Amino acid sequence: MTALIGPFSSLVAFSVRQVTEKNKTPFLLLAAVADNLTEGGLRYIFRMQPQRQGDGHAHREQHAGDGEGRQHCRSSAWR
Amino acid sequence: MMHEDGNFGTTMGNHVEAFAKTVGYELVQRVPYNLKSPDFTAELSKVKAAQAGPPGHQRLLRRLQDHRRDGGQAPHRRATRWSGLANAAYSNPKFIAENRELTEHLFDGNYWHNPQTRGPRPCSRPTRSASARRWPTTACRATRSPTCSRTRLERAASTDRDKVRDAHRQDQSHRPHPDRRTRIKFDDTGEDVNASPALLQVQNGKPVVVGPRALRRGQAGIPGPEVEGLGPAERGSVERGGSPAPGRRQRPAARRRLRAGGERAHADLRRAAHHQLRPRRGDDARHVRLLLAVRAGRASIPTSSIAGDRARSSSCSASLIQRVVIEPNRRAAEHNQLLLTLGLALFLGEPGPRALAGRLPHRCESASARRLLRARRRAGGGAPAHRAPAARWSIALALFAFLRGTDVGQGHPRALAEEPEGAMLMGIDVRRDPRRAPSASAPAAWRWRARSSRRSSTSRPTSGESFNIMAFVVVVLGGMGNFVGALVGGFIVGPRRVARRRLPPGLAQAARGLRHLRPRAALAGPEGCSAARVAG
Repeated sequence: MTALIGPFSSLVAFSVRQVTEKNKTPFLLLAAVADNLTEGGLRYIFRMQPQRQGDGHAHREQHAGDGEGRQHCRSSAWR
Repeated sequence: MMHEDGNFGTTMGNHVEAFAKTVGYELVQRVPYNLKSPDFTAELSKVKAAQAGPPGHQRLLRRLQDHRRDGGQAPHRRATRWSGLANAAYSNPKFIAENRELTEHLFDGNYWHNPQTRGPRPCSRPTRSASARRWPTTACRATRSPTCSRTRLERAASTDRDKVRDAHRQDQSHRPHPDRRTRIKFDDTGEDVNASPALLQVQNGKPVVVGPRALRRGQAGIPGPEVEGLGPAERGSVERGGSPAPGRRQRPAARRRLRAGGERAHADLRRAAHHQLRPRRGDDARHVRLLLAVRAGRASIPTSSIAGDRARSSSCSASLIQRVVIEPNRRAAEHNQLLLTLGLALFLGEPGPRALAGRLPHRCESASARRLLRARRRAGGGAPAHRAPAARWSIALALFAFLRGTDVGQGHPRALAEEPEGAMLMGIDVRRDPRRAPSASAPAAWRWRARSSRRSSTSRPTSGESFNIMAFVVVVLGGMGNFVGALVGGFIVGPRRVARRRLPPGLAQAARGLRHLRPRAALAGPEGCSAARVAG
């Protein structure tokens, strides 16, 4: 097996990433968005979609100030 | 707030709880539930115990800021705000269609592709051709990881795991990002630095991108405050602008609540104006400036500022402004102008045919006045007393008090150029001074008729048709908002009265018959024939 793609649940991904890291298998997250999945200095895990914190920031920006005037901090707030 | 007790739900719940206070929310209760639980009865009971409405994915309650202004004595003004970030709320394409009430105004940005980009289309096209089945757009997100992985495998040119990993780390794919017009680029932790959520909201049953700013296609809308105690039909009447439901008579209590809702809507509009626009002279001025800015496309009013308007989702539409603000004021202004015109004409005009009868000369041409005078003399009575100036002043003061103290007169100050922008919103041509038009019309007609009557031995300025009716005709002819038009109308009406005397008997009779058309024309267009409308 060259790489692993998935899963849907963040809870499952949290357990799977330990195995993929141990076996040095690239692990591409499919739909798991929990923040802590990429934490811990892991080297074989990748995620293309924004983590949950990005959605939270987007929601907060929308309610707080409609996102106006805050686009300059997109790299940190929207990621 | 309800969330699952797993990794995802707990993480998201922590974010929401941390952000809630910073934006002024009051988190009523946090209710985690087991992802494997087939029954949520216990959790829903907790939500109901917290005085929440129908359960949702996330629910946050807050009190409007103006609730503080009422000293906390208005519990009905507690606003409910449905929020989102639901986990896969849009994954099922039928979810929104089957849950219109529940999902309206719901936010989400999780598994829905960004419709601003073309990424999902090539993802779904080959599958659609192969399986002859239409993919839901949400499924396109699932194709990103396999697509990216295939690209990296091709670039690594090997199945070695370390080479594949290095290809992921080092290679910056030239394939467009499915969500943005950028490239996929991983940082040291494995996160895509160009990943950006597209915050979507269900508006009128369709997801609309409302954030971030670079991608959004519409403004986020928040449900307005609910008026507690109103039934569905009455609440619907609030949404329709106060008109009662078809076939349902409005009760006085409901009418009072509707009026209170309207006042709150006005207060919300004024507050929105205060926050969004530069203050000017007063609240009304800011209000009008806000509306003008909205109509010009330079500002928008969130739907939270319109009480009861849950149907509108994003920005405050022009029709809403038209219904809530402009139409009532315009009607008031038109009625007020009509009354003011008649009142001024009555005040400036003659006291009436009965009073005139005693002062008319013997060569008076008015047959009705002659008959009246003859009847009075036969009855032995003298000339009737002329209406005292005090009586005329009393009429004028009563009219003034009526205009100042009633709803009809409320639109008067703005309509009469005290607030030009408001008058323009009501459809009055503010380039001309409508205040002078009705008052100038009657003297103009009198003046022109008096000039013409000098050449006639049988005509006097005060004889014949009632003077106030003549002034009204002049105003209608010249235009209520048109000062020049009033003068022109006076010029036409005054000499016409004299010229008609010199017509042959047949033509004079025909001209007299046309007189009946004037009141009908006045009723059809009380704003005047030449009153131009620059807004509406």
